[in-house]
Amino acid sequence: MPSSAGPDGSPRRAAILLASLSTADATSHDATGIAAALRDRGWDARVFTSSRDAGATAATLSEAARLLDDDDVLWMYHSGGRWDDGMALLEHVRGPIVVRDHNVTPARFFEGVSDEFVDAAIQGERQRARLARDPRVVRFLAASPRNASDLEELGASPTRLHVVPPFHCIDDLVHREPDATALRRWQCSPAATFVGRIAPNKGLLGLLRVARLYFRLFAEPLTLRVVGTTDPRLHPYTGRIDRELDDPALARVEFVGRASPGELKAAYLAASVFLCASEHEGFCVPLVEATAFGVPVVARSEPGVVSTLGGSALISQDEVALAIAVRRIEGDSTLREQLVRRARDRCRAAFSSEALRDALEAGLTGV
Amino acid sequence: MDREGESVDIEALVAEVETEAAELRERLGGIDVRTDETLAARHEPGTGNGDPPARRPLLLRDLADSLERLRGQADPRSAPISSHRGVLAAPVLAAKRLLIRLLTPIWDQQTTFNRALVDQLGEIGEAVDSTRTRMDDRLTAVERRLLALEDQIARSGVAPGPSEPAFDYERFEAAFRGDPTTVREKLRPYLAYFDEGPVLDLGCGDGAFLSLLSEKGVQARGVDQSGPAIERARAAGLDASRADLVEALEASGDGSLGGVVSVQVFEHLTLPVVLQVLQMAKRKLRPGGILLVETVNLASLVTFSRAWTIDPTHRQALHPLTLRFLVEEAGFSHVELLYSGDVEPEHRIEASSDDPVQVRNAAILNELVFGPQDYAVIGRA
Repeated sequence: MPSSAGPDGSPRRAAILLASLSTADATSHDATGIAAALRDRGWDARVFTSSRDAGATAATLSEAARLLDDDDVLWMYHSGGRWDDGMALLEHVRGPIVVRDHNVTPARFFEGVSDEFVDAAIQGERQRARLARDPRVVRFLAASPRNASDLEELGASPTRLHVVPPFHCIDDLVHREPDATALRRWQCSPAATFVGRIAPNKGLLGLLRVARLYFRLFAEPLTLRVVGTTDPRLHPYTGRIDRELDDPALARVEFVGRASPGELKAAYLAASVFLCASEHEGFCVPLVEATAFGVPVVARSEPGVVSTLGGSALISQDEVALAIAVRRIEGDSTLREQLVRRARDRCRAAFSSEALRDALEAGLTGV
Repeated sequence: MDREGESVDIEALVAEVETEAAELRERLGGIDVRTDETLAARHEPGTGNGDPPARRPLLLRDLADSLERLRGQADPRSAPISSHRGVLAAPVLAAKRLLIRLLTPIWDQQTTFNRALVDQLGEIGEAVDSTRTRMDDRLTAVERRLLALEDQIARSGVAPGPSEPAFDYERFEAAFRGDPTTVREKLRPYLAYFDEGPVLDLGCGDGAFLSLLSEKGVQARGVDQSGPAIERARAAGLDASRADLVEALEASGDGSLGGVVSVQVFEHLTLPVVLQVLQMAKRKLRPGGILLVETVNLASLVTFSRAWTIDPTHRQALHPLTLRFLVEEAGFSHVELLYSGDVEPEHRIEASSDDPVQVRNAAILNELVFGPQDYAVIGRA
């Protein structure tokens, strides 16, 4: 970690910028986690945002603008999609810039679903490319190897590029009380579970195909629980999912919707396996969450998923194989334990709080 | 794979599963996994008019593939003739062909019978589907009539008779209504669900949520039966009118609304009116439109000594799971529950020691007795 003392001996300041701060969002958890890690190291680190949830605490961008003339402020810009106000502010900063790169979901996933999302994705990727070529950026902190490789392709210098997995709130979730109502209801029917937004890149239609294959192969419906928020603007996609659910082979598929932290914990506690058919991930935090709750992972092979849990989960491109893998784990507690043990070792080594702080320190050395 | 030891060879396991998958695919002659695109294409060939595909009746949809397969197998002679007996293959095949010729008159009859049976099965399927559709329609009509009758009875039952003193809700509300700023902030998280108007606020009060929507740039209007509340809303420049919520909803065009919201109102309605409002909201919202209903969370026992019993006009207890069920039954999808109104921390029970049993018991009691006091059900039309 760079020196946390300014020229006059006072703590050095870090302004962490992100488009919106929410209490239930991976990028927000990362920004607040980084701020906390920096503060623990003696920095005066604050989060600034354009919009925030009622429960989230952060300062506004106009407050950040007061720091523009200060050469000593370190600006950490969270890049994860289109953010015009953030880019405009960045034009005027005088201190060093660190780009914290999250994933931008490619526009192709939203074609035919939402023009607004297509446009936002294209503009977001353009802004990301501008950042990658910006000589004022002293360090790129990519959330995953995939993001690092994207940035390199966009023109970022490899010497300024480091992979720092996202900070998360899994420890808080582990120590939280599960929602009693949800737990009572769900524990009666342990389910293959997926946690993630209901969006095209998350591969929900693929997930339903795996459930249908499971029915074809084993003559009984797969109990599948999907936890995640829907966005009304994506209704052409959610409508397609609704039509699929008419199929009797999917009789035991349940879309739970938005879940409180207590309900999320209940979902993990009632999960037989974490089943992920996602088609595009930067880094997949729910895989690490599932592991923390002792849930083995079966996932479609995708670079973001592989870099998160590769070698410690059953990952395949073949949807028939995914259905078979789920069945095997459901009926084999020894296999389940072995997979969980392996995944836990991987998560402890790479994504524990200590590991993340070490990675951040390495990423910011010399800044 | 090492079953006893610490490690599992994941690469080998994945390879094993993939091999099994390949074998299964070969054995089953390819595994058909219908996606919604193929389903849609099968249901509505060549329309391409942008409308959602018409749904084929469920029974027929499931039967269609099976019937097609059965028709293909109706003639036993359609199976290929083969022999694996080496030098004896030629005489064996000749004998099989002779046998087929001898049995042809019987097999012709059998084939005719099989085909008739398959056709009959198809007709039964169609008849069952058609009956079910008719029954569904009749049931819906009966339900509507029943609801209308129940509503009529319910409405006629609440108006006080000429000699009975009326309860002055305006004065009651003025005494117990919360601080406007607190009310407004409590509603703010709901804003995230509404991006497109027009939004109709049923029971808008003095327009706390209407003003939030207006600040966000979402077109919204509200109705309420309280005259003073409507005056306050109008004074704040909001589009609010004094009207019955059912009538206001009915007056909206089908598929014309982007959102319907109702905060702390449903507990004042009877169950039939609740059902009527939900069904009507589904009809009035455009596809993807949002319904949000907030009411008292009776799953948290503290509400029985607070919000629920303090207001004598509360009629219909709606447990969160009940309301979610009703919203789903009304045809809304992706239905979510959102809890709010946490009990003040100082009123919650604390374990008197770090003993895990005590901590757990305190958590269970807090969940049951001092859980969130309100909840909202959110669904998509």
